Amino acid sequence: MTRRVLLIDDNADVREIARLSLELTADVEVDTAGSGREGLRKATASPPDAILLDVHMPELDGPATLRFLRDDPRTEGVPVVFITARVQASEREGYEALGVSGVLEKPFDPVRIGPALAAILGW
Amino acid sequence: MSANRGSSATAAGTERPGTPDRSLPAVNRLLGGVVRAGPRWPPRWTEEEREATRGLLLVVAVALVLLSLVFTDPAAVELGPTLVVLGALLVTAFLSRRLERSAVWSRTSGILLVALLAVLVAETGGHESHFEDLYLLVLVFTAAFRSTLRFAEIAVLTLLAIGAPFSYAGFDADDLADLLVDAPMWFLAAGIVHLLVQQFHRSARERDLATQELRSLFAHHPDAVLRLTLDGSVEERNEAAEHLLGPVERLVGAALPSERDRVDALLAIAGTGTPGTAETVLRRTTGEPCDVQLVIVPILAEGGIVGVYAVARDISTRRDAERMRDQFIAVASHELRTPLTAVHGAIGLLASGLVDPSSDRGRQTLSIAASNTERLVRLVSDLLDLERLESGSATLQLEDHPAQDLVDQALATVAPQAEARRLDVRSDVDTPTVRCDGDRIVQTLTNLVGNAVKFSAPGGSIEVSVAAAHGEAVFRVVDHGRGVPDDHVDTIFDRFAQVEPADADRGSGLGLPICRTIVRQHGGRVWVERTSGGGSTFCFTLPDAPGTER
Repeated sequence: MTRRVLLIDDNADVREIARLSLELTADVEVDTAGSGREGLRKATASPPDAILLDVHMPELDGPATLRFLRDDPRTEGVPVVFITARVQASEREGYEALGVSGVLEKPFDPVRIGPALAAILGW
Repeated sequence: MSANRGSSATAAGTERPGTPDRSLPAVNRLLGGVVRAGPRWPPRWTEEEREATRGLLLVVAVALVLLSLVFTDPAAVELGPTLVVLGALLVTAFLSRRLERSAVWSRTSGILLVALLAVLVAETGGHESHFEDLYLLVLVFTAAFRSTLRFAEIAVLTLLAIGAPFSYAGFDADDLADLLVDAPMWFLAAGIVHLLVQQFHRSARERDLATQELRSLFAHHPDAVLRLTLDGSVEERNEAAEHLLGPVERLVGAALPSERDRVDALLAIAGTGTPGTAETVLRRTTGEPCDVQLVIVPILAEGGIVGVYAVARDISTRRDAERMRDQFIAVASHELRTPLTAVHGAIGLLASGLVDPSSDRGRQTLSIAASNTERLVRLVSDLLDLERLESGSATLQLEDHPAQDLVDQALATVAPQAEARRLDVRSDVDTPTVRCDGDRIVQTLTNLVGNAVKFSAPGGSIEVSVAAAHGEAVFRVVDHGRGVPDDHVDTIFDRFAQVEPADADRGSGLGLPICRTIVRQHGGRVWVERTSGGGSTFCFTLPDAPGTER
């Protein structure tokens, strides 16, 4: 069964490469958003099976977007995976404490990102 | 310009070489303002201390006289001569107060007293005098209580010692034998007292000196130094501690609540006799936190730990620099990882065969890889450039350059982009030459004009001008684009500052910081203004005598 993933990242090139990689390495259909605000609009309009969320974004960053997602009854149950260029052990623990299902690192391996996401979400 | 140079040369010429200015302001200019005016050093005895010492000496002298009188035959004591002796002692003591500054008087007053007594002894019976023992006692102690004796003094005292008893007419062979037997004993006594006095003087002086040196170290140490009891109450604090922490009563009370356990632990360790150190945060008198390096040293005395010294060094400047560096590394690594993610992903997709390179999707993926590689290259070279400029390893090559040439070179570099956007770029140069590092100023102008091109609407216009004002050359790059919002005016020259997220795709985020560093190295200023009617005007100045950072 093809699952729907919403990818929120402020960099257009990263969005495009991540979308391609996910669709080619996992049975998913990827919708993208270029900001936290746009992501929230798309997620509430049609809740996806999972959300891949960039941590470092201007204005509404990853953690802030996550709070809005959790506060909204339409998206509170959607699993969220952070994707970030800043990963240190302490930060990873901090992210997990926010209640995300997992953290993916940038730069990612395009061949393995799909299986990695599926493993995190238990698909 | 030339008038300024002339006057500064004259001022420098009148300064005598080889006599460095050691006034407090001059020293502080050298050391960056770390020295504060302290109390006068070394400390002088106060008048009260001097009076107390004098009184004590007088009491001792009178007591000695009375004691010697008690041990002579009471029946034989004549009141008159005794009063003369007491009077002489008092007069000597009081006179010496007036004459204390006279070295001759301080050395001769004792001998005068002895001479006075010698006359008394001779008048009252010489060898048979009741005052002979008192006389010898004063004589011996006059000699002994000096930490140093001169040959003349020894000679005078010896003559007096022998002369007075001899002055009695009935002095015979038995008396001479007695004197010869007694003399060695007196000399021995005098020698021992002299040695003891000398020792006492020396150790007291050394102790005083050591105490004064330690007090000076404590009082004038630029770090905050507090003397604490073992339970952490402040007993004493130096000037720097007063300045940093104010009238704090407990060291733990000065720590931020989150840091109290750490300070407590240090004090507990000190209680076992072990010194400890930690970086922690104390509160300033003003309430704001201050990063300090705290050193706790137990004070070992009398076979136990009697207290603790706490030394707090203000390290807030270093910590601020570390925080800025950490933040810069975090931002820079994010800025580098983002294009790297795109390149790595794109090439991985093509290399693994997931995307066919000859397909449309393949060509699009390749172009993402290419543009992000370019961005990486630009970022890395800008980072290195900025690093070189800020570390000071890139020195300025100052020469006189025609201002028109500098502007023309910059405009030629951005001409292709400007033409592509059909922009009208004009220049108005009002200053013949400027003294600067030509390459660096062209780089600055190219950057600013390049930004103006990027942020101008197609078909718009850009004006570049150079004018002289107040001994400076003022460069202006005027565009009519979207402008810089007011809340970005102060931060736009910071590293990786972008007004809009999408701007990151247009530049490295390091162009303006590089411009600012170059201009500041020249001793100029750089700022942004609002262009009337919309858009922004980036300005910078170059002083006539560049190279001194402001």
